Amino acid sequence: MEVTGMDDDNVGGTGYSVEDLSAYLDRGRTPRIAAIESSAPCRAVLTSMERMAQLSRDLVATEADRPLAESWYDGIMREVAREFRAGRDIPLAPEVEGVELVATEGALHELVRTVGDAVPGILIGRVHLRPTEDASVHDILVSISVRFGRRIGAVVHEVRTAVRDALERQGGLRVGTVDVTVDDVHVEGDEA
Amino acid sequence: MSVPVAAGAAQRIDEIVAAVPGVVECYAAAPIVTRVVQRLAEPEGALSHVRETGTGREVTVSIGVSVDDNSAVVAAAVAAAVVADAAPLPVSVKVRVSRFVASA
Repeated sequence: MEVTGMDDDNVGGTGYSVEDLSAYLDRGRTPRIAAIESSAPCRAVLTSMERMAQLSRDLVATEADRPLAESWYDGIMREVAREFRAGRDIPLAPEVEGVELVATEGALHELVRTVGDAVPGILIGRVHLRPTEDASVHDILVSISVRFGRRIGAVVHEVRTAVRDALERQGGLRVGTVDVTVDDVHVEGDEA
Repeated sequence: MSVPVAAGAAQRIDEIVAAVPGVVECYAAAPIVTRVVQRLAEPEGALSHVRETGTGREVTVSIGVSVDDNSAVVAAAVAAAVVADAAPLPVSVKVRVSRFVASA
């Protein structure tokens, strides 16, 4: 798997670039690199790469007449690398007696992407968590690609519900608005 | 002023954290600069970040949980396990959920 055009050359502060991670994955993650395996952002990017690799294999297996465009792949991986940076610590509960429970912004991006991709006929494009004036509330902005033939209104409702439920299941997190933008339509063979 | 504790203490906390139900993975918890230095000295060192202060111990751990779980509940259980292990010494704990891992 070749990854081109990435500008993130230091995923998770490890000193390894997205290209390095791609090569490491291609080598079967051997020899083991502790700095990568112990880094949450690196592990998240590797998981996404594995998923994208499976998608590519599926397309080859089904001899899809519309193969996955490299530019599309690069675009998604660029978003993944950007989103999975740890970012801010977001409280999961009020700090009590020396105990602080937080989730990273990158982890919440991954959660939104995972539950969104689980909705049939959907591929998540971009994810953004936008803080509101109330620090415990975040607005969520998601862009999606919808499979050709699916009713967009119903799909958007499913994505919005899945994202809200997943986030509000995490302790004290509260979701304000969930804005879902449909910015692409794809055919069935494009899905993992 | 705080100082790092012996690696054995951090590795013990790694084991305690990994044993908490709902913890799927553990990651390096120290700040990036600290991790770089630690990696040079000990590439396969402990993942938990543990420091002694004048008033007690500060522990930071970084975990991954399943997308199907309530991360706050898992994180609270991790914190309780770390506090219980340190008792009666005072300890402050930061549990950072760094990944939500999809179910296999």
